[in-house]
Amino acid sequence: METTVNLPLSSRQRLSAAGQPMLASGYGRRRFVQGAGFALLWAAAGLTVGLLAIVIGYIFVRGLPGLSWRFLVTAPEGGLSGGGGISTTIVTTAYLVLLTLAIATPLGSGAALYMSEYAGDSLGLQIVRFGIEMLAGVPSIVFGLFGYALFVTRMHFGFSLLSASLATAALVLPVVIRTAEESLQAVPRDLREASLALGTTKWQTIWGVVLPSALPGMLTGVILSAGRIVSETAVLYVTLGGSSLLPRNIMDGGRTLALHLFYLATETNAPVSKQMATGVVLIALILLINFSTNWLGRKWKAKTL
Amino acid sequence: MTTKTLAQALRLPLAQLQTSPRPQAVPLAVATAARQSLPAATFSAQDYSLYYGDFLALERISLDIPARQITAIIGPSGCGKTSFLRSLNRMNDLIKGVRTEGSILLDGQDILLPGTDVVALRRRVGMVFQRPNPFPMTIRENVSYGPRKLGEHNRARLDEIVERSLRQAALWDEVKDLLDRPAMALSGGQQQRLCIARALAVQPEVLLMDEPASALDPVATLKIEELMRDLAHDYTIVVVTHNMQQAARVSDYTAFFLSGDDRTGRLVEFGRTKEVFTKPHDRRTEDYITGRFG
Amino acid sequence: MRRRYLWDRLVKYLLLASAFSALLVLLLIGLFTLQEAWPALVRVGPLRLLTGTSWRPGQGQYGILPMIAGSLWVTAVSVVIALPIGLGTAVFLVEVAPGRLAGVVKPAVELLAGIPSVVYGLFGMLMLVPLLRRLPVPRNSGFGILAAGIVLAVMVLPTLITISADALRAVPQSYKEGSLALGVTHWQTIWGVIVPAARSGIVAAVILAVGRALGETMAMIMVIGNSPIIPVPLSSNPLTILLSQARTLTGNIAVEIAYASGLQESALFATGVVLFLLILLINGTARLLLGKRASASA
Repeated sequence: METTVNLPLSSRQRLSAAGQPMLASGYGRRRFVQGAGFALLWAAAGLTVGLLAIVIGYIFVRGLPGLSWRFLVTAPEGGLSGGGGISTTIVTTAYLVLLTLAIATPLGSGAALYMSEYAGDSLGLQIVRFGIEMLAGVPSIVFGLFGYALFVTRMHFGFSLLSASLATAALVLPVVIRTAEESLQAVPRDLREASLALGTTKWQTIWGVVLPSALPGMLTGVILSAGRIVSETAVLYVTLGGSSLLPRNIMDGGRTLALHLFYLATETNAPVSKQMATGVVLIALILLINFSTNWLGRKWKAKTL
Repeated sequence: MTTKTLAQALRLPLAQLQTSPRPQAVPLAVATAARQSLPAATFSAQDYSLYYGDFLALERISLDIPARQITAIIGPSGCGKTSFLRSLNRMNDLIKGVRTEGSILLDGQDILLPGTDVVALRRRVGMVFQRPNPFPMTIRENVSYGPRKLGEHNRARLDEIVERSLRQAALWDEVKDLLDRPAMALSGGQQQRLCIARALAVQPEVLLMDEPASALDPVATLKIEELMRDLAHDYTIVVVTHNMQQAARVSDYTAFFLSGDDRTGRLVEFGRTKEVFTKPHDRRTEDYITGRFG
Repeated sequence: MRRRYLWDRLVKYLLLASAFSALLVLLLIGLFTLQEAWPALVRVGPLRLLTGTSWRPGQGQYGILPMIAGSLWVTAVSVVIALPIGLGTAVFLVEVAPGRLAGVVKPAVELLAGIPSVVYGLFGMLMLVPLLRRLPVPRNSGFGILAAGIVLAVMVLPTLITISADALRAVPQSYKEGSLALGVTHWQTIWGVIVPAARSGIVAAVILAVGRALGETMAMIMVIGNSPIIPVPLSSNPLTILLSQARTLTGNIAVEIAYASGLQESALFATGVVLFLLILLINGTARLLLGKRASASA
């Protein structure tokens, strides 16, 4: 920022070069307004960062004391007491993530592959894109309702990992497709052309050249979706049920970490420290996922540059 | 070489060039003395150097730009002409990692000093860019933008300023019924004149023009050149151009920049346009003007 | 040789099928929610559903207007809070921040976006609500529109910031240079040229934020109180309407689906249909605006 140490260059003349009376310039006032304005902008940014610090800080400060190895490996007691640990929820979360990704990844990658490698800019493609955009905006509770209506009730899967993963797969599908498509588009044209010029078929080109190159980016998308699944609650609330037991197979229901936190907070008398501790684990998990996404993303960028 | 062949090389009518014989190479002291006999300078660059990070873009430029004249800066592409021009209103500040040495004096005050009010400087020294860049607003809003930001809100006075500026830019007759239409709807040449009007509206003393006609068709180009000659009565004009014919046609003084293998721009020669084009002091100037390179 | 090409064709059609899966899912969602909502739509009728001010399933009343009001109030409050902070942060990131600081703020915004809604709900419940309860207003429980609005504001902040920042970055540098070259200050340039030029992108950001706000469920039901009433001021001061409890459309579904059956369940699905259509409309508008901007600046 400049301070006016020497004389400002404001013209002392009363007539302009072309002979008209000079406009006032208001340098002092404008400089003041700018200073105040920029201070406000700094405040806004500071507030944003501050909010993050407050939310995470509050949870960590009140949750870390309640965190222990015991907490992580004991199962929740269930019922109103809210006692016990979170072991089963962590495992259930892992099950759900794996199952959901098993459904969404092939489907989403396949869609992205088609859109990126095969389709032109036809009307059909535009409709598909539109569909994906719209799907991305649907609230998670509506996915929950959908899962409840179709999988839990109509198909008699009941509250189960199966119902939940199907509904959640629908939820993360747009994310997988979008990131996969971006990664595929980022593969330079020449690579494809070089392979095709050698006489290979389109699929061979994709399998041998395009996919390996786009893989890190697509992996990033998958991990991003995993983060989304871990954070999800609304969909699971109506498709997974609330059992605090470990699901024995995919037809069993259960609780993910996020869902468990919700129940702890709203339906039990669990001590605050326990709720916060659960929150800490959840946030830590998300942070981990975030960092790996960034790290992978950076590695991928470095590779393609 | 004869003046005739030079005229042919430049595609200029013979009469536009002086017919006195070419002198020998002039020693530096004499050239400096010759420079000092020019009318009082508005801008004076003194050993000015410009760095982009570690890269030396301009080396020790010393140049006095005369008031109320048109000074053309010519040279092959990449030799630092635009960088020098943008130094005069400190637009280079927008680039990260920029560093300067030496000084540039505007009426005796060094504009490179840290405490300089750059906002005030840029009002006194206006700029017209290579590609016309009207704001996405109406014509009236474009021209009145500067005065409004300076604090003028009186509707009548603003309308006056808009009309006056557009007249000065030789655009008034074409747009006087279109003032509330989007500026983007104008042709390229009109947009550029609009940008000139916009710059004039804040009452500068100097007008910097960075290849103002290079993005325009020949007809629009001629209009801009005419405009420049008119404006020179009231304003000091510094124009960068890669078009030598334009420089010879339009300017009173010419500065020739050149960069070597190190891509560092240096001032090779500066003087009255007629002299630079007919009796250049430096061999390199002659080579450039006669088209042997660049 | 022929086998290679046959395989290729097969793969192509498989992938084509995947591509349509997203569209299929969208249609399925629409269809199934509509189907489950049908009984309510027929027996109660869309008009009574949408304009009925009383939600009392026990007495056969299925008006979701209170929930519409609740959703709108909460969304409005969150946007009013988040817009200045979000736009300010975006402008800061693009125009003011020295390089290193941008590297701090940007990840912070990403992190804010990544925090699960339950955590925000928990934070709101355990820290914000008790704080608001201290306000000396009769029947103030701390739970209500303000609590939910603040929590929601923090949740939509990243969306606002990221998309606004993109819009600001897309403004051609030539506008900024043209303005500065006239002797106009940086601050004036930001608000005189840059932000106006990014207008459609910023509006799209707000619309997307609104969509996000309307779709939030869990954090809402943890802090808003969930009384299915049309919000009214708690005292003579009209501002106390912010402390009124309320229920959102999303909350309506989540809170009652566990034990609802029959017509009530159907009405909840109808709420889902309303949500679905609303969000589709909102996102479609944003897409149009963003798309137009993308082609205009090309």
